[in-house]
Amino acid sequence: MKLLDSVTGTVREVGGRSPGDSGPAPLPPGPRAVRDRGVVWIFFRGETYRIERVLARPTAAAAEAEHDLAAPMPGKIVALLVKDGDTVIKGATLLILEAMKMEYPVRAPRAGIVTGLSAAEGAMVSLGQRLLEID
Amino acid sequence: MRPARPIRRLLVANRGEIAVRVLRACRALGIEAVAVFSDADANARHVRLADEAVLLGAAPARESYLSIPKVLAAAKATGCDAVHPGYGFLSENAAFARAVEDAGLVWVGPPAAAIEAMGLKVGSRERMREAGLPVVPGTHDLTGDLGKSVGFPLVVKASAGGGGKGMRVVRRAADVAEAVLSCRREAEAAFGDGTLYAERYLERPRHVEVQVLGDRHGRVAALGERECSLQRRHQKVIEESPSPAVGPELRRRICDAAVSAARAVGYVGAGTVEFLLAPDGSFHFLEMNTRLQVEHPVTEEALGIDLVALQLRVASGEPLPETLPSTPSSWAFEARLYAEDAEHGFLPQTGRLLVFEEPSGPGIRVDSGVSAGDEVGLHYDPMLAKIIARGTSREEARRRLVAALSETVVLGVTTNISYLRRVLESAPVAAGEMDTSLLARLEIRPVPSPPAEVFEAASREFSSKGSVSLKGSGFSDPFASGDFRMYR
Repeated sequence: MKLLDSVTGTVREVGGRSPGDSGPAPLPPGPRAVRDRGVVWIFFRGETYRIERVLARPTAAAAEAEHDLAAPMPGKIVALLVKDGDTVIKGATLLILEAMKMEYPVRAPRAGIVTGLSAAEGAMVSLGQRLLEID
Repeated sequence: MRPARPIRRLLVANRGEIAVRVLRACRALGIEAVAVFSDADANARHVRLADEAVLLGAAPARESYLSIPKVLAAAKATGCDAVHPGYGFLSENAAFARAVEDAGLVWVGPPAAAIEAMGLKVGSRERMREAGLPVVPGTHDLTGDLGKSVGFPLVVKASAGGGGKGMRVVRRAADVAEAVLSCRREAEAAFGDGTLYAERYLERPRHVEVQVLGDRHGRVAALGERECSLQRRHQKVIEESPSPAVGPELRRRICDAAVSAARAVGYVGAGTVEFLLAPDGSFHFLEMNTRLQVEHPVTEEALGIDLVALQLRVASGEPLPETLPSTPSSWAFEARLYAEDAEHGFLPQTGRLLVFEEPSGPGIRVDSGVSAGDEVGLHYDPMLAKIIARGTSREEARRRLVAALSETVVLGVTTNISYLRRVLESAPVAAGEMDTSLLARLEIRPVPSPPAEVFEAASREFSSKGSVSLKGSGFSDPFASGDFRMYR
């Protein structure tokens, strides 16, 4: 299976045991692993890793998702600095999220035109919520 | 002067690690302790440690930990005779201090007038200048030409601010307007007061602060200094005591200045006078925090004292002990463990603590407010714990802290543990050559790519059926969709 460590961004292909295998897997000498749904948290030699499974997905959907901008954290939109149709340069501040009384600017990951804006000033957004697209 | 009033039953008006810290002090002194909590904290560690606990209200702080009527009602309903505010929340709220005393309870903190004098930075700067302390040049008139009245670079700050919130560094005139708007928004949200001022931003100073403690009999003691130069976006990350930049002569001068500051406002209780220390040994008054600080343990460990116990003693009217130490007998470091993703913009993280194992060993102390199984939410500060190491030398303390961090296991919520360790291992920190912008420019070694064992262990976990832990726990997992990447 294809695995991703989302801390370092390392991807590795590993031969997994098939679900039909019987008996418990031998315990590895060291890694401490806890699985919570789609993530395996691992503590090994003083470092913590967060491993996800990378699943194949249709290319069209992938291309679509490329343009989506999702909320990087849950919080409240305290300032919305762009509107549909605005042309933005890479790194431009699009909106400002507030959580725990601290403000975090959300910047454009690429240059393009803002479309499909679904966020409003004052709104609470959840982690990963799609906010707008940059075409 | 008020007669001594021993404290028998104390309300701890806070949550998290500081509530736990105060509860521990109460237990050691034989004082009964009452905790307060919000809906989000019903099962929290501070609640479990208390002799009694009172539900204040909903999770948002305004409806619970920041509600003066609710906290006072809790104190009365449980027969408390004193209130300890911890830090944050109502700790620097003069109206709360006054309300506690008006209700006939002992307030474990400075007089309301001292909180007011130091709370609004615009006024406190003036007051300190009059008391003879060196103050950074600045203005509260933000409409004029700041380039002329203050000079660039400058920092826009919330008058009611503190804890690094409501601050913006501005390097050119074109950026003033946006900084003022954003700073005001943050100040209004965090403190309910959008008053701002600007002061000259000193380049590459050290942040050195002095712990002071005053009693009700007019005595103020300085309990040495702490160095808190390791900050990120004005939030302290790692602190130590003593400061590697402060020798006996400078310690005497900066401690004298801190005592003058405290005396000028009639200070009683524990407080901290913050200074910026320039490379040439000159220092400027920054602000005074009229409460216990997050980083108070490094002073406790360096001097071998219990600041919370001393707070409780002076609050009940006892004089300061004659024999308080002022020079360090040990070196101490503290690292703040935050639920944040240091590899992806330091964004705050949420989730359930599936595993939470604290370090221990010679010279190691952990002040923590959470335990395994706790949910880390977004309502409160993301600091989970403080890991403190003491040694006979700076190097011994630093190495002990690095070792302690490498045995701290937190699974289920991303934290900055690895970042803390790599900062402590970096050459400038190891050498004690720090300033307040070091972390912004420091290039620390990257997290190593996971070794094969890690991927093998993950593969085994993904392959084994029924090993999904905490099923139905209500934990909403952003990665559950499998193909979701959080930060680009």
